[in-house]
Amino acid sequence: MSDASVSGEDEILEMFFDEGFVPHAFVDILLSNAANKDISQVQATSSSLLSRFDFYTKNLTKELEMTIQKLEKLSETLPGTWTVKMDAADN
Amino acid sequence: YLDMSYKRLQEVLEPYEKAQKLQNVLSKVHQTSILLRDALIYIHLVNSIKVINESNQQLNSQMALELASLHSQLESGINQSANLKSLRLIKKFDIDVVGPSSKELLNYLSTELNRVCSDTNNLNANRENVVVLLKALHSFSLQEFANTVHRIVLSHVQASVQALIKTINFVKNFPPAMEIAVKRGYTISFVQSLLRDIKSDNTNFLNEYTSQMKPKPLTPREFYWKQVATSFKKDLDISYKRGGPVGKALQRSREFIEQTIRKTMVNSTDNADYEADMQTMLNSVSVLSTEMH
Repeated sequence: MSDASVSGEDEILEMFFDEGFVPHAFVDILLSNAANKDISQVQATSSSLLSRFDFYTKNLTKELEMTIQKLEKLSETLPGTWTVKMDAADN
Repeated sequence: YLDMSYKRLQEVLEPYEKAQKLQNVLSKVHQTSILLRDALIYIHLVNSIKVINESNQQLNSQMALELASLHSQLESGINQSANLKSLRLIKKFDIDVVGPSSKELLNYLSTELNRVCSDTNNLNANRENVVVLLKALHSFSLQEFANTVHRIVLSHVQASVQALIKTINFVKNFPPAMEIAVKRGYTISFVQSLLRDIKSDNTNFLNEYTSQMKPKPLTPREFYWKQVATSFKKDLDISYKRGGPVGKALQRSREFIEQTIRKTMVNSTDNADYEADMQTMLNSVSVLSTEMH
């Protein structure tokens, strides 16, 4: 898989590509670690993370759209039987 | 043909798997984002509560209203997200800040409202304050709002019943006791009109309170007079049926008692609609028109 176009060197983004990543656990640890610190600092860190997530969402959505377009183009050139095989591959 | 088909399939499979992966990643970013955002809102609200509680100012009704609104926002945030509730930081905030603050707030609101509503002489002067307290309590919890108002009504019922029952053996004291019951009835009527004037969504506080009343949806006024009349009647019936000098005195005073009720009940409300409540009170002494055994 080539995710280089969106991920680059970004460690936080890599994290989401990890199969074992659980959003709840991540937020839980993030906030628990911050609990001993100043509340306003926690808010600042969380806010900047949130804007980063928005940025990821934008890029990932764009890439997903492009991938789907590619799939649609390919399906036009394929023989009619491919959908059946796709289902088999899916299972 | 098979070989070529397989190659083609590979061409499709790769972007297909990539799309699946991207969708999965997007969903996780989205979930993380939502949860973090909800938590951030929660932290912000908790912080606002802390600021008010640590301001070293004696709690007043305006502050209580603000706190109540913050608590109700926290509550709805928690109810909308089970994941939010299970975050350790949120749990810690609940124990350290939210729980104690909401307990203190509820205690303040119910004590204060009770105090102001017991002061029958100055209720009108405290009108604005009562409205703020009612709004705060309502926004904090509909159930607590209904419970507190109900307790206030009950405490007035109790005081009036006590005053009335004492006069069964001394009918001469019935008028001042009836004045007390009417004054307290007036207070309930006053609170009821305040409740009716506070709008809430498509209805008002009075309707919301009344609909919570079980088993029958009675207004505070109806409930007050029904309770006062029922309790008074119970004791009066017993004394009357027992006969003796007390029963005889009661029998002789029937006209006097009924006249007192008719005269005093006029003052039980600012509205002219006291007839039904007056009838309720007249019914409580109906035993006096029966034969004494």
